[in-house]
Amino acid sequence: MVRKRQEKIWERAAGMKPDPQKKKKSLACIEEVIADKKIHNIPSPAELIHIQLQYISPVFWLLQGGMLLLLLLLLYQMARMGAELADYLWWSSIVAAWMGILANGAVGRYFSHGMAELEQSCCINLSQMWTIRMILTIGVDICILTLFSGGVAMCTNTFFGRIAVYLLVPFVLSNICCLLAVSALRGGRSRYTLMVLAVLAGLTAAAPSLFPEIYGTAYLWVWLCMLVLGIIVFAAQIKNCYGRMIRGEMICWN
Amino acid sequence: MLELKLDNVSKIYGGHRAVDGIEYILSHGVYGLLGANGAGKTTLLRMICGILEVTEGRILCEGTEIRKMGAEYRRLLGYLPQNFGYYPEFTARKFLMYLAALKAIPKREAADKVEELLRLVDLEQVKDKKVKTFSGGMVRRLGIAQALLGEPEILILDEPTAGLDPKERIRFRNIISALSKNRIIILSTHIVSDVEYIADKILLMKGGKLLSAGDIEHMLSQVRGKVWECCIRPEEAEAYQANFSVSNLRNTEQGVKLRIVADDCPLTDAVPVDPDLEDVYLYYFREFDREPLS
Amino acid sequence: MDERQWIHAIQKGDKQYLKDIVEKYYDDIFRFCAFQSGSGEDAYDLAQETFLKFIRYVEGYRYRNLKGYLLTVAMNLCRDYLTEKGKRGEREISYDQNVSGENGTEGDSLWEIYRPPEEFSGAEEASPEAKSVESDVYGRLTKLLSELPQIQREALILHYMYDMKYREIAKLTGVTVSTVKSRVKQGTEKLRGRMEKEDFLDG
Repeated sequence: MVRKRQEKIWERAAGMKPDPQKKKKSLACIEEVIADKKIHNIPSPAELIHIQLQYISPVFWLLQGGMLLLLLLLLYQMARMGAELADYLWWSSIVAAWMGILANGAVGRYFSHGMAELEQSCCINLSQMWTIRMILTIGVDICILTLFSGGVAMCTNTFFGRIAVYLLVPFVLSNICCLLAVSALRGGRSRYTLMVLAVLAGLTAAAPSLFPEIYGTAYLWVWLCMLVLGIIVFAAQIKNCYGRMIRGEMICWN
Repeated sequence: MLELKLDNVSKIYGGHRAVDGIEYILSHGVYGLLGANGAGKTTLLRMICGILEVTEGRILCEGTEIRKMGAEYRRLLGYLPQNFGYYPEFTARKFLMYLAALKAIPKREAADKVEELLRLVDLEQVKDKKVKTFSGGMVRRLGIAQALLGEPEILILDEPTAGLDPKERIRFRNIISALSKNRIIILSTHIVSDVEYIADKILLMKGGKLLSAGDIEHMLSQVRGKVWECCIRPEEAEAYQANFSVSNLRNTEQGVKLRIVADDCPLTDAVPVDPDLEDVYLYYFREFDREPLS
Repeated sequence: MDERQWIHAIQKGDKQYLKDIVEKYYDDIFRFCAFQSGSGEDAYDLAQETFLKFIRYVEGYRYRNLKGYLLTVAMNLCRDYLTEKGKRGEREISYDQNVSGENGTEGDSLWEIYRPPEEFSGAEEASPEAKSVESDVYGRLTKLLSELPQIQREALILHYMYDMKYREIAKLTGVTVSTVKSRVKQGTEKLRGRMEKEDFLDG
């Protein structure tokens, strides 16, 4: 009974209406603001990617295309010669390492030329662009390397995952080195440094092929460990860069 | 009305207080941030832009901390950094189109706006030339155009007139005066005449602290009765400059006319004169900088 | 066209739908502000402020539940309003006690919260006597609600007046479902007690 009564009161209260005159006045104020309001455009993720693609330099595409072509040629040539697994890996490890350098070298462009500060103040800021760009380039690279691994797997009758691990290790490690150079060293962004880095990374990546037994199944766990470790280090590095970017240290440095 | 509140804002770099406990509320109008190099102006502006983290205190835009607002805040912002670069392959037009894209201005709207701004800063003839071929003044003008993209409600210009010739300076002043309605404009400079006629409020900064703030009349009232003029013989000029804060020195037929900023009458025959902003600046910075300011 | 499409159109630049949203929800938001703030006069400002805030940040708004979102904004504004009002009331009371203990009209602002707004009395009755104002349902409910803690009042209004589920209220206020349940339960009991005391339930 009491509950019913209480509900009745709430029901009556829910029917309360504002005074029409005062409501009209209030609505008029709101309409004035609506008339002045300028609707800003919030870009969708697709638009963000489009903006990114528009401003990636043609040199990057040329080099990236060159890498892909190189890998394809390699696959074709080796398959014709009936090469061993280690022969495939020797060359492709070098290319994988270069791809890592290229990816970060291109993204490192954001920290050069003094545009970072300006970009960070924009609606779509540096941190966002850097993230999108990283995902784009590294994603494409991983796709290429995986496809290539598939090709090698077919030609050598090896399990595809194993080859992918062998190739991803030099890729991840060169990513780490290059990101370190680009983000921490003052001169790390120059073309010259990147070139030196590419040579060194290439040599290091080619080194294991001198000892073909390293690519045997007995050592597979070493490769796996290196890959996992590399990914962890790289993730930590990205997190660190991101933090420094957001706090402004990385941008207001010079 | 938009309101930016600086709530005890400090920035500490390795123990050094680059910006030290600044309290101030900004609303619509033009603010001239005056201070010598190294006074912390750039650091303060970077924090207001949300680029640099605040070590202590808060910066609030309409009651919300700006870093929490993220893109919502950046959308209100136009910023000209003290130094900025450009990608080498950029032409003036492409540079502006790129920044328009980052400011999330729809493409068609951006193309018109970019043309309009290029006209405004008088770079229309060179819009398809590479930025790397530009003179310092031209790059600066391009920077100003860039800051105006998207009609920002908060416009922050760090040393906007650096590298501009006198004609360009006048043009810049006119642009700012025409803009000043319904927005917050902050411009930093170490040149008094840049802000003397266009700023509604002057903020004086020294050693990371806000020394004094207010409209021009308020600033002038602080040195009224402390500015003197006197005439001396040319050979005495050097001695006077060493002992007093001289804001101006002029050779006349009667001798050298000195304008001195001092709490007490420096010479028996010195007469008090009306102060200008240059005198205020000198009054606050005299211990720091005894040289006469140009 | 549903609300989701309205929002989409607005974000693409069609401002017309902003007006439609305001018109659709004005009464709901006003009513919430009136009972929550306790002031039928200030509720117009609070409702207006709610919509202005929505309009200002509409670009970043991700559609979930528009009415719920607007109520959240209104709720936060009412919280600020009550804090501000509480502070002012305290100040003025202490001022009152220090300066003129007898003078009641000076310290009225605290009582304004409890005072039933004029329009609640119903214009057609036009009875100037305080008694008829008191007997009015809205005014009496407002008064009794204002005696409850703010968070219980919120929960009661949302639950009984807007027919919201505990889960929905929990989402809106950012607390757990069980907290909402206990708020509603406690609030309901307190309110019933007061209603009985004032013979509100008989009428």
